[in-house]
Order: sequence, then structure tokens, then C-alpha cells
Amino acid sequence: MAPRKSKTSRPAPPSRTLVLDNGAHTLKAGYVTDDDATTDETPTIIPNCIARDADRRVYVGHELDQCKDFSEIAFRRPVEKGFVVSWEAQKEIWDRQFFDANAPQGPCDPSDTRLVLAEHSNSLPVLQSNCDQMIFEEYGFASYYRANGPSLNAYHDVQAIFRTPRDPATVAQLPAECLLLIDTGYSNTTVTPLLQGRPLHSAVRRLDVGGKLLTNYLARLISLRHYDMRNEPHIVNEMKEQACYVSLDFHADLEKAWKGTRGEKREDYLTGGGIAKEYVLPDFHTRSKGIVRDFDPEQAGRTRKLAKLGEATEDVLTLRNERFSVPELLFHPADIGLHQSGLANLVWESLLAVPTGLWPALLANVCVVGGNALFDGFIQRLQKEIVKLVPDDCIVRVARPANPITGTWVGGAKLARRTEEMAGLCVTKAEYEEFGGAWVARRFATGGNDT
Amino acid sequence: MNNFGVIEVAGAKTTNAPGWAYVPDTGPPSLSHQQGKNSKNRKRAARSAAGGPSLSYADLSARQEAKVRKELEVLDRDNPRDVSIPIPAKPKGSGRDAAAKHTPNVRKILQSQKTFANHLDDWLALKEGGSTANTGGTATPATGGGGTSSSRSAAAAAAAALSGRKGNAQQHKKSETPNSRGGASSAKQQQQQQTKQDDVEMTDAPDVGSGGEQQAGGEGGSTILSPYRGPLPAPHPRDDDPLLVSRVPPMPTDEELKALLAAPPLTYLEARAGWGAEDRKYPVRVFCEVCGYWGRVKCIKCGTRVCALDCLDTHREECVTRYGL
Repeated sequence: MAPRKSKTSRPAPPSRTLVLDNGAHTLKAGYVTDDDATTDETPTIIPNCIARDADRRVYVGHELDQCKDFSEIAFRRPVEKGFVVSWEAQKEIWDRQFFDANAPQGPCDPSDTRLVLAEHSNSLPVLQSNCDQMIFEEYGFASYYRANGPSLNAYHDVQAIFRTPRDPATVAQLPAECLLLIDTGYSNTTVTPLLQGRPLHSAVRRLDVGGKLLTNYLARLISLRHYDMRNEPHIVNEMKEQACYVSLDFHADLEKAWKGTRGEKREDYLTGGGIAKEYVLPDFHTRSKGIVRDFDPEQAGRTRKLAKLGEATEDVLTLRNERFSVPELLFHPADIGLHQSGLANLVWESLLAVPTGLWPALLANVCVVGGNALFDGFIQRLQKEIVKLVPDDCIVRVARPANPITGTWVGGAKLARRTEEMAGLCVTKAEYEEFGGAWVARRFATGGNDT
Repeated sequence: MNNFGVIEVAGAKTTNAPGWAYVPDTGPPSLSHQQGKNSKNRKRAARSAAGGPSLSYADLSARQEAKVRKELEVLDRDNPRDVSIPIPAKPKGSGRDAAAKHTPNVRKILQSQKTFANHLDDWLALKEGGSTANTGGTATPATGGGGTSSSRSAAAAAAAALSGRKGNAQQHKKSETPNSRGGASSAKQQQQQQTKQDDVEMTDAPDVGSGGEQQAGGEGGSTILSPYRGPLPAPHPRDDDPLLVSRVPPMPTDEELKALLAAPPLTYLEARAGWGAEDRKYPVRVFCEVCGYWGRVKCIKCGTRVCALDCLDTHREECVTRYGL
């Protein structure tokens, strides 16, 4: 890849890099400058949506913070299935976040900025070329790298995430040599084996279960059993984030949460069995966020009486098996008739596509990023299920970075700091204009190797 | 099952039975509207039709299949209702010209109202057109990330057929006609055209190894994987014992790794997880539709699963309003 770099016409490299993980639910963005080492710690997290509340007021991106009343809120999301589809909406959100005169972090000058944009695996060619065209023709970024999102995670200090005992002086080898990355986000969940920070494309697998499906499923369950919450995606999403967990023993938990046959009084059901929780719904006057509290049978009885008299001050839901049967879909999608492998089998399917010699290394480095990784018990359950499937000789380690939501972004920021590597990966605006979109697409597809 | 994309819709006719009863659960319910007409015994008809305990799309009745598909579609939506939120007017002092000039490409992209499903259909149609012309499948349009060399293309085709979309079915027709009628000459012509179109887009075999070069200089072996340099465990007198020795699978060779790294990305449908033998090992779990516990019994009227009498009562209220007494 040396010859292209020696182009004499190349202007001075841009002063800063905008690292952007454009997720379907939130976009993670931040500027990385070469001289300031602290900038790659925390990105800004902005909802990637245009929302309209019950009063028909419209919020774009970060303006959603000003929203006080989330009841009956409706969202328009530019990203579908992980890919930017509606550029009309995406442009509006980006404009207000980055390019306006009153943008939160000051206006960005694209002609002096490098862009690292994380994209999902297995995109459609037309969406990729749309993206390239928007970046160069509309915004005019000085240079641009459309990176495979999962592979950016290889630039973490992965062994620190796994707490591998080692000499503290050792410098982490970057990118990580072998990594099995699971990205479980809003639209779907993907498994990507990475070798030297490059994805093994033939072994990438996707499960169409993500945070959105889980939220919708929880909304459906609650609508069947309690109140109609189908028009309250925001409230249900908060409820899911606060109250749901991944069960380590699904059968036992289900048994505990069962009401029993007619006339039967089951101890676990009456006391809650450690599973039942009460969720106090927000009313957006006195309470803007829902609260989870332990189930208390006496209190529940009193509340019910008050509700009958119409004097209740709060709306309370009792969550029982909803708490764990919702995230269970990640492991058993067939429970709702979605005929796909569960997450552990997905890992197995992916492993079957790589040589056996790589299995021990990949299995010892299973890293989970994405919002669903925040469910309690997710990591333990995944580890337990993978151990059951793979050969006994393989050590299985599953871990997640401290903040799995920003995992991809932090990796991208670390990559952006490695100047020489970036120079080989990025495409400049001049190159785009000279060689055209197809050349750019090919270059990104082959991982920056010159064609 | 592929009726050229035609999806059977549930008939409105249901057979009513008085009262309720526990029914042994031997497979998917209500095949009766297909087979039951000539057989008096609905249970037997259903059992013989199902053939076994394994449950798959093919075994499900059209009604259930449609129901499951509809439910999954609902779960996959961003909003429960169809909402269209227009782009709000630009705030004052945004420092941007509202009527800024766009290049034609950008204007086209911004004005496109296509959803992801539209794009996927378009792309499938494009690919289908290409792959019939050059059967070798050397290159698919654009990035060349096509189904060459991948064993998953069959699965992808099946998935495409399963999705049963209109555009897809049309494309089947379109792409098959020239081959069957025109014979070799027209196919050849098309192939020439295709190669002309594709020529620009073809991917050269990428030169891999740049990632590994930095780490090169290990023991004579791999240039991609670096040798282990960490501390070794203390030696043990029985290290050579054939019973205790651990089996380590052979490392893949450089060529294998290079081929693996150079493999083009799978297409969107190829990467989708399948429903493999490992998943079929266990029967599909069914749950009580009312409370979420195991679905141990079925309502004999509509086949809905419930756990016990309490939930059955709750369900009956709904069932009666829907199907009558």
C-alpha cells in the first residue's frame, strides 16, 4: 500500500477526526485530536431520531433532552436494520448536531476534518454508495474511512477487558490478534470473528433480534396483561432497561413466577420469589422516570384497594416472568416463532465457518458490545451456553467492556489516533473525485489494501 | 411451499365445538380446514398430517404461519402506528442556507423515500438478473460482495423465496423467460452485456498480508499470527504422558488465513442466522398466551396455548368474542 501514500498532491492531514458510530438508536460521536489524549474517553451520545410528542412538538436528535412528556411519543429513525436508509432525516440530525452555527460542540468544518464512520456488516452496496456520496458530495469531508463497526473493537485493550493476568508493563498488542465480537444492538445481533482487527467475512452471522424487538415484545406482553402500552415505546424501553434481566436458569425462574393452577397458593408467587418487581409508571408531572422497586405483597394489596376507590396516586405494574422472558428471546428466538438460531448457536455456526485451529483463540476472547450486553446475567448466561456447545478443551471467556454502548466508538477513536494506519485506510476527497465511487467502495471492501 | 409468492390467507370459516376439553397435544392444530373435510375425526386428521413432533414452517398451517409472520412484522416496527414525521423547519440562525445547492446525486438520495425493504428487494432483483446471465456468478454488481464461493448462497436463495415478496416473484419470471425461450444465443448476448456492465465493478483479488507484515518475523511459520511470547507453565514430569497430553488442533496455514481474510463480505441475506440441526434438536418451546408460563394445554377452539384452568378462563372470554360460543 505504499505507492499511493507517496502522492505529492496530498494536502496536510486534517487537524481532527470525527469518530461517528451511527447507531439505529443512538449515535455516538466525538472529535479526536492528535495532541489531546483525553478526547478518546467519552463520546457524546445522542438519540438518532426525530421524535414527535403528544402535543405534536418535534424534537431532532439532542433536542430530545428538552422533552418533558414522553407519553405517546413517536419516533422517526433514519437508520433501519443498522444501515442509514433515510438520508433526509439523517442529514437533519447530523446538521443540527455537528454543522449548525449553534451546534452543541461548535460547528464542524468538514473540509478540515477526517471522518471515521462505523457501519454494520453485510450492508447493501447501494446503501454504501449512498453513504459515500453524501459524505463527499454533500458534506465534503477532507478524508473519510467507512469502517466495519465490529472490527473497530479490536483496537481496545482486549486483554484488560478479560482481566488477563500479565506483566503490567506489557504494551497491549493492537489490534487484538483474535477476537470473537458479538455486537448486540438496537436492530440486530451480529457475531464477527476478527483476526488482526480484520473481520473474517465468511463467518459473520446475524440474528434479527435486537433491542427494538425486545422492547416491542415487552410492550405486547404488558398490553396483554396490564395496561395498553403499545403506544408508549419510550416508557417501555426504560422499563426494559431497568427491570429486565437474563435468567441463568430459565426453567426454575419460570416455575417461581407461576401463579399455579386454580386455587393453588404458591409461596413463591405470593411473596414474589425474588423475581417479581413493581414498576411505578412515570406520570410526567411529579415523576418523569419510572421506578423499579421490590414487590411487597402487603403494599400491593393496599395499592389495589386504593386503585379500586380511585384514589391511587401512582400507576404500578407488577412484572414477573416478563422480566426474564423478554431478553430470553436473544437465546431462544423460536419462542416467538422467529426461526433462527439463538445467540449461542449463532456463535457455533460462525465458528464452523473458520478453521478449527482458530477456535481456542476465538473462544478465549469473546467480547460483547452493544446495549443489550447491559442486561444483568447476559455475560454469564452466554458463557454458560457457549461452554455447553464447544469442545471441552477450549477455554471460554466472555466479557464486555466497561461501557458496551460506546465500545465501538472507543475502538474507533483509538484507531483514529494511529496516524500511519489511518493514512492507509482513509480515502481523501481528491481521491474520490479522481477515481470515483466504485473505487472507493472497493477500497473500503478490501480493508484499505490498494487495488 | 413456494406458490410463486402467493400467501394463503386464513379462511373465515371455523368449526365450532361446544364446551372445552383437554386435547392431547400432538402437533400443530387446525389442519382440519385442509384435510378434515373428508375425515370425520379432526384429531386423527391433524395427527396424520403433521407426521411427527417436529415443528417447522412447512408443518404449520397457513393460518398460523400468517399469524406468526404478522406478529413478527409488528415486533419489528419502530412505531406501533404508521406515523410520518416531516422534517421540521430549520431553526433561525442555524447558519445554513435553507435552499442550498445539492449535486444531482445528493438530491436523488435525499428525496428517496425508500425503506430498507425496498432497497433489499431492488438489490435482490438486480442480483437475480445478474446471476442467471453468468451462471458462474463471477461478479455481482457493485462491491463484488456476491455469493461466489460461499456455501450459503443456497440458504440465501431459500430465504429469498421464503420472504415471498412481490418484487421477488416478478423477478423470477423476468429472469427465467429469456433463458428458456431464446436458448444459447440470447443468453450469450446477455452475458456479454453483463460482463460489460460488471467490468467496471469487478474486484481484483485483494492483496492480503499487510496486516501481518508488521508482525512478521516470528518463527518460520505464520506471518499473520504472531508466536506466543508469554511465560510458559512450569514443566511437569508427566508432561509426555500420552493420556494427559492435550490435543491442540493444527493451526491453519498462511494460505488458508489469507483466503479467509480475503473472502468477500456475505450478502445481507447470507449472513442471516439459519435454523440449523442444532436448533432442531429440541422441540420448540410453547408458552401460555395469558401468563407466560409453559403452554401445557390448548384451547380446542383456536389452538391457543394456556397453562391451566385460570388462564383458560381468561382466554375463553376473548375466544368467545372472536369465534362465538
